[in-house]
Amino acid sequence: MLIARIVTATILTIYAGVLTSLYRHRISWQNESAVIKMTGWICIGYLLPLVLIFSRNDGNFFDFIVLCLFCPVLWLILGVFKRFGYSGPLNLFLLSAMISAVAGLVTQYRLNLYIEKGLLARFIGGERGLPIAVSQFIYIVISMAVVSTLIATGYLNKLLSIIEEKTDALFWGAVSVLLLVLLFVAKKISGSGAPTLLSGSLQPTEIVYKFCFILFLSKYLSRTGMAMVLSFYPVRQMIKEVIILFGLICVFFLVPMLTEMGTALLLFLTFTVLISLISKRWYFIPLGGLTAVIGVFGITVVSARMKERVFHAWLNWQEYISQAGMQPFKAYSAFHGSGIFGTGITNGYPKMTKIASDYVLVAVGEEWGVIGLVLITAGYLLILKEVYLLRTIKPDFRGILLLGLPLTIVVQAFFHISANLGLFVLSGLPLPFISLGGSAYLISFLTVGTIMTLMNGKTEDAEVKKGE
Amino acid sequence: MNKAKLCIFFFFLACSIVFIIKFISFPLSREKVYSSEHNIRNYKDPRANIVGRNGIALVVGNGTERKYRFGRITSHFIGFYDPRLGMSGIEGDYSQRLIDNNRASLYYFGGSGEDKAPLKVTIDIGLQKVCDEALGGLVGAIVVLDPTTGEILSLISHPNFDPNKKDWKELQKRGDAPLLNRATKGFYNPGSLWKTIVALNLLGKKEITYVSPVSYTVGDKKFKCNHPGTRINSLADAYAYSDNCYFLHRGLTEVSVNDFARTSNQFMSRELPATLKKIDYAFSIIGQGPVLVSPLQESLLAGTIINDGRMQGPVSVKGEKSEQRDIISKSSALSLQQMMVGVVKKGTGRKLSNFLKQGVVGLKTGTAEKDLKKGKKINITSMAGFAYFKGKKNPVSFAVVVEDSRLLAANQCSPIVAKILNYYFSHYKE
Repeated sequence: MLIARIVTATILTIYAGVLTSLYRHRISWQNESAVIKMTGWICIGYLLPLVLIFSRNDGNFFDFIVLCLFCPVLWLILGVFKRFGYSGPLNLFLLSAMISAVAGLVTQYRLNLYIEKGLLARFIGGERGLPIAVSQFIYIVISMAVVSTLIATGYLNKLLSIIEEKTDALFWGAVSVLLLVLLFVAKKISGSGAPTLLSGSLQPTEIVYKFCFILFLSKYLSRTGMAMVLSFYPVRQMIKEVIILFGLICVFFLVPMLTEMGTALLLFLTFTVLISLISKRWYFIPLGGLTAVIGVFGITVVSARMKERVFHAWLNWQEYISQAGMQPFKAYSAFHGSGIFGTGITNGYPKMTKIASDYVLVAVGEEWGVIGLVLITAGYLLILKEVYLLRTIKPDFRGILLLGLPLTIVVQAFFHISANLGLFVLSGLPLPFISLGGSAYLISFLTVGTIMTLMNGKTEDAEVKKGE
Repeated sequence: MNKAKLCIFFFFLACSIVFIIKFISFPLSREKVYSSEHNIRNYKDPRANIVGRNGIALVVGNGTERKYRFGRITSHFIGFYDPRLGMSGIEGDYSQRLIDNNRASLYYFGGSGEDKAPLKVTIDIGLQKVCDEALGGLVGAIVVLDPTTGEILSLISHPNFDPNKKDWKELQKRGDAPLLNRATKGFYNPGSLWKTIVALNLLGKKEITYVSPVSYTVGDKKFKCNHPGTRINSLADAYAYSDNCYFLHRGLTEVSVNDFARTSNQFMSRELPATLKKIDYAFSIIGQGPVLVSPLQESLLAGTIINDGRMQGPVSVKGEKSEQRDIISKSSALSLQQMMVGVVKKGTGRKLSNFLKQGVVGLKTGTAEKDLKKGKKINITSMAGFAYFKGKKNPVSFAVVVEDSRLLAANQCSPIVAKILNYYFSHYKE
């Protein structure tokens, strides 16, 4: 339908405009009109597709009303920053709010699916469970409210100071092992996924990957001063140091995480990128990539599930089209049919298993087209850009943390995208801010909040120095 | 560090460019992915017309606009295609062929778009109409096959829908699932029809004389006997009168679960395990419990018997090769044919015995109980069989299933099958 295409084009234009603005300008409460304008555009870009989906009978009325509340709630949450006199840039917060609303909530509302697992669904879900869009909405709002309060009141900064002063790398390693062992035990007891009450809500591996691992690396590299001098080491000594560090990562993270192959792979790739950055040796990236590929093929020898994923669902999907190859076939068909400019929101056919989580990019890509894909990836790159292009970063605890945190989001997002496009093996990882998730939202927003706090701390330092 | 950070950023930027190139490669690729409901080109590219086996046009159209000339009557066989609902039937399974046929003709005929090569399907629209009328307002399905070629001559599922109306939302909301093709995707307990499987395993074994008791107990479950006190001298008699206790007795004592499951699974898509508990096995013998088959599978069972043990897989488009499988030995098939004719001569199918003057008719009836709320029960009635002219000329196999019936299969399905056989004996002689 033409109207759907027009609305989609409008939304993509608004999305692109907001991204450009966030790229070019520093949005903060010091320039109130900029915040108002930006929030306004985000809300228009969010409400337009909602109305379109609702008017085409794809979504139900209750969900529509609940989802519309996002706009006033976003405004209230932004008010929290103002209330506590937060003067730092809100770019990252607005960016993550936009991705999770315009791409995430809209996509989930369009899919119109229900979730049965998870805390929320168990308590307030009806017979069919809880609409995913409503569940996402609640998680996003809670996450944004918690994180904005933590940032604006300065508690997050204080928490970081405590972590910096009182904890050690080994502590985070131990926390990781504990969480992963708990997960393993819970799996054994419940016989599936995670503990019954928390299944679908809590992902210990997300916490381990996005916090324990990055905190471990930051503490380890800053404590030993390695971050400062690694790039100056002779090659042999540097490789020795990297191998020792990798050994510790294996003990604390990779080995206990073996049942969660996707996250383990993600963790390894993040480590590779971060270590090549700190050592300034670029061969670590292709070397790490190659090791990951060899690792994946190696695991296929012992794991039948992995073998199916690699050989049946990824490499030879045509031959297994009625079995494991069915999902990839449907995904590629959707991309094939989407054409370059997409079918337009509500014009696609997003009906496949796990479309709300593992294959969410198919739903977005089919209807938004290549421009949508460009904008989605640009959104994640913008998070990276804030840290990697603008800042001068000291090789201390906070500096490495600041380098590592955006990487966790971007590597995960790119991993998801490449798996959906058939460039790499699918391992069931969600797309941050868009895929179905519970606590994953809180963790993602907390990651963004921590980046904001770390960046703002730097700004304040710089301003103080300037003043002196 | 700054240069290093910049390099990392550009590394990710390069990854994004790879993603974009890969994404663009999908729409530009020539890989054939038409037959997926995800592919929007299914709904955009013009399609060829569809004609029946007698050359009568069933679907005509201009571009993507299509007119289903027989509306409801062919709805489940031809199916539908709609961007908001997906695809089904011939429109779904042969989407690629329909588009390719159209394209090829456009190329060869100078792009006029008039002389499209139509897709010729196997249904006989006359028989299709008769089956539709015979089923009337009942909920159920009918399948008629040519057992020698596997060609589907008629496929009816009720309730049906008019694909010309495109009222998908309303159809989806209805509680009686009119979009469900009951003939292929409706799985029912076949009831006594499944005694054919036990009979097949008992062929060649020593005949016994069995006096049917009032009931037959397996574990704590009592099965009622249909003919208490009757002396049954042969398997053929037990089959004709469809005596539950005879089959339970001989099935449980003489046929292993493994053999039963193996034979059953030749005709079922929802396979039976070889480790059935005794009570589940008892239910399976009389076609209840875990035994679930579609009307199409029931007609394939009858088709295999009349085709001397060779199953010809179902075919819905002319010229398509049917998958062949030798399932039953010829001698067993011939014995079963005799037993099924016996059902018409003296058993539960005797209401159709007057057709024996015109040709040969054999069938088996089956009534399964379905539990409703508050302990009430309702029947699922099935009848599957075959008919041919003398000299085994022009054979057909058929299956009729009627849901939610208060009658027994013999009473419920006989009038329906009579209408089908009337048409068959008057139109299929040559």
